[in-house]
Amino acid sequence: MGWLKRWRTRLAPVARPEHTDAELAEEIAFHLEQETAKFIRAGLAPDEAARRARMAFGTVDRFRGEVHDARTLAWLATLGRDLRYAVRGMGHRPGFVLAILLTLALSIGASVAMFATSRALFFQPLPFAQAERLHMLYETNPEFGWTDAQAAPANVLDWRERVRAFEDVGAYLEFENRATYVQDGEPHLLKVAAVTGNFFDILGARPLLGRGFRWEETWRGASNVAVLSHARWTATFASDTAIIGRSVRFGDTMVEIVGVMPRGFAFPFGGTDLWMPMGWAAEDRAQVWFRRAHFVRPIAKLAAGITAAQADAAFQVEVARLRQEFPETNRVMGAGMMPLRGFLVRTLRTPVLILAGAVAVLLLLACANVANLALLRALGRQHEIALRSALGAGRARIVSMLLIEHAVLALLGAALGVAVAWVALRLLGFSEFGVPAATAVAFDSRVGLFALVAAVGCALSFSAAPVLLALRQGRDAQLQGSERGAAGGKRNARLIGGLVALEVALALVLVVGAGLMAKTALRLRRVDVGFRSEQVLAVELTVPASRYPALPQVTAFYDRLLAELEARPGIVRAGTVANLPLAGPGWSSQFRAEGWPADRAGLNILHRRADLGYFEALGTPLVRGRHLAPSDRADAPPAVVINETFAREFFPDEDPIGRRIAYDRVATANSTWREIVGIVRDQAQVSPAEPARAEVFESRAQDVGRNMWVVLRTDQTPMSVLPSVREVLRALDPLLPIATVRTLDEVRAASMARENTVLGLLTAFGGLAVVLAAVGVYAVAAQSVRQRTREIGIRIALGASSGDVLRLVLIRGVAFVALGLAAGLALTLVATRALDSLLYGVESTDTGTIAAVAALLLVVGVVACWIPARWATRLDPVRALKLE
Amino acid sequence: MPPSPSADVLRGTLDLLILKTLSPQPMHGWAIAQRLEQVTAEALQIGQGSLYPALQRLEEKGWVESDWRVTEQNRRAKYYELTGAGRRALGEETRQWQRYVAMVELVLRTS
Repeated sequence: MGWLKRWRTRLAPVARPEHTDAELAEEIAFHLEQETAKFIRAGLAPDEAARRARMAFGTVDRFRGEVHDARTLAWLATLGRDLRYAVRGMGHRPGFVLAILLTLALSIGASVAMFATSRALFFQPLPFAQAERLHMLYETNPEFGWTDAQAAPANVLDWRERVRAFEDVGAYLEFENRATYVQDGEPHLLKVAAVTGNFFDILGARPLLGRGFRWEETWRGASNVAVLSHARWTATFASDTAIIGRSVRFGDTMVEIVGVMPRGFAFPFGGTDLWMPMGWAAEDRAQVWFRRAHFVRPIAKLAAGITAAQADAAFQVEVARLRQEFPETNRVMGAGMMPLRGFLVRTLRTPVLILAGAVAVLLLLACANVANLALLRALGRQHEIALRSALGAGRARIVSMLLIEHAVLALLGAALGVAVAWVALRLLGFSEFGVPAATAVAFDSRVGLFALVAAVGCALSFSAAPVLLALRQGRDAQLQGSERGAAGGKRNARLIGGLVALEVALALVLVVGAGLMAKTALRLRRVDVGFRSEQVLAVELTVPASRYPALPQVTAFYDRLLAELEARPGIVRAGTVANLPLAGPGWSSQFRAEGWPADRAGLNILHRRADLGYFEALGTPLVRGRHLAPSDRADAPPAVVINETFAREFFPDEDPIGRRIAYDRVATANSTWREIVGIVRDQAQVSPAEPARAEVFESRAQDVGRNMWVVLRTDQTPMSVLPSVREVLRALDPLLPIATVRTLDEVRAASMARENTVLGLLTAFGGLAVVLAAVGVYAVAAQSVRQRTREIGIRIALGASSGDVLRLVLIRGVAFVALGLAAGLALTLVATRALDSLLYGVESTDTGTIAAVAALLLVVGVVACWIPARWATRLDPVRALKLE
Repeated sequence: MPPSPSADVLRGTLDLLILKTLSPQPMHGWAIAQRLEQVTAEALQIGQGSLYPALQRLEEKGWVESDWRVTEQNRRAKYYELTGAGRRALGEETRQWQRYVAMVELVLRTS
């Protein structure tokens, strides 16, 4: 029967805690009154009588503590009271609370954002059926240095038919096509993904309406079909379900809409409006170029029950066989496979890992800082805690009180942090990183759970020090009140100093990282990319074959367009080019030069169609020979201009001007020979960090190109000439839409997006780290002044100058900063190595950067110490001595 | 104040003393404290405060009942009274205590 009674007893106070408390209070009040009255009757003064009564009683709080400790379940009631106490207490210290909340919100926010992003990139399942069976195939070629290249379609088709371990193999073009759709006389440009007929089936993606494609539709000759994206269907076709089966004119061709994809399906590109089949001609398959040109991205779905290793083994057998069957094209061609997700995120792993590491450092720093503030506050509350423990509050109560207070702070901070992360991801979206469209960042319960775990982790980690302190006080400071034990003070100072040193060390790591990235960005900005990007506007156009069937019409159109544009105010020079510099390489090929031995060939040269206006608009100087000229037309012998790298690589000891080249490894009677007429300065093709590759420029008047960029050098803000461009275009061809508009400054910035994103975030983290460390140093110096008020007072009384006092305070604070810097230096040398692959023109152990950052932190530390040190010099010795 | 090592023994003893004190008539807390002090000639060193947890324990065991009454000085106070179970418990606890004392006595004498 004992257990039943015990439980009833334990539950009772939970059921009616207020009642019990109120009754107890009244009962005790009555008791003390009676006892006081007794002492007064015995002749004591009322004050003394009340004191004696309280002494005889023991203490009120101790008594209460006993009652509560006796009933373990009463902790629920206690929790409520502690929560109220914690929240009320916060209202009294808005500065302290604000500092902590801000610190936590920013650092937890950054962690949550990184967590959500990393999860989306690396862990969240791709939105495809049986995504684990999907593998990306790629080709390799040691001669060209290809490691994960696009594949030649003929090879892909053979893999599909021969490798049994693959259930199916499909492909898409990595290059986004364009199609014009005219609505109410206004041309709209749609983004088109070209895919094989089995593309949707392989991904297991079912259309919302209608059907996907069939394999036969890969080939030209089958009817023209297309699948709409949900966004385009909604925006342009008013979500009309009758669209299925209707023929729509896209550019030159009538296309039957056979399906609409569900909302959120975005593969392979984010903004695809339309999927269309490749439309290869059946006879292409036997052509050499179909096996020589590498321009599709194949995706394989493994057969059920086959492991990746088994599939790869079977795959390699066929790759080897093809090498023997088609030596002309496949002599050194290899191939490999990689899980689809791994492929999509392959370039993001390094930067995301770096940022995740930085965020972890920031979070640790934030915890150290909050611990520091909490510790200082605990020191400030020494008296309160000592009183409570003297009044009999158990250690458990004091610890739980502190923990609850910190938990409330951490949870509030985490809630704010989630909001910060949400906003940050909306603003940044990591889009500059080129996060694959298939991996959308989701804010769900897992992210919430992470925030919660982070909050609890923070609360525990920054509670440790104050709790230790409270326990120690509970042990040895029994209402000794203001008499702070010298030993305890020293211990606390060491604890706080250690935290400060940790903060400084972590801040050093982050700021050095930011500094190295800043130096990289600066170096990249200063790189001579071979052209002047400022004040240049680029407009992308695609002329349709229906109205511009052949080279003469295309040439005439561009000639007129450029002439009319140059007549407009604000436009200094106009030209055309097939691909913008710094926006990725165009197509590449092999070549041979006239007079070379039969076994000699040039590998992997880049091509771009351009004209004189292009080079002049961009200010790319001619090195030797002549530029492409308006006279290099269809009726003149083909002329090309090469870049300096081309000349250096392939004609190191001879003059390339006047030499003739053909884009074939082995020349045949059909080869077109082109004469090198000039050498121009290298233009960076991919990024300022990557050296230019050998490149050859053909004349646009000698090679038909329907997709061109019109580049315009202006004498004003480049965007301001856009209305003129639209006017001129409308007059020339009202049905021709502008595909894209970019300034070359944007293009240049975009080529450094990865570095800039990492730089931006590291700078933000570093800035925050410096502020946190400064607050930490300031707090410790202020505390030391407060603690040594008496000593300083004595020194001043004995004639110490304000300089002496300043030095006294500064030396202590700065010593901790120096300790932190020393520790941070060791840490930095290890940590910044992670940045290596992102750095350009600077070593990860760059002495200048590290020294500058260390100096900066030292200055910040000195200033943070100097402020409280100034108070110390202004101490009035008389008051200081009385104070303690 | 270091915690008394014999807190449990003391607690049990205190229960018994309170029951005994309450057996002639209902009393409020302060009166119980006064009575205990008088009877033990202030030899028993217990804080008056620990009286109340003990009273609460006894009430929760159902051995005493409490209600608010008005004192002679016209002041509201909580009075405690033995229940039937309390009386039985007093008898039982008294016997136990006596057995315990006798046993301890025996041990002390023989060794």
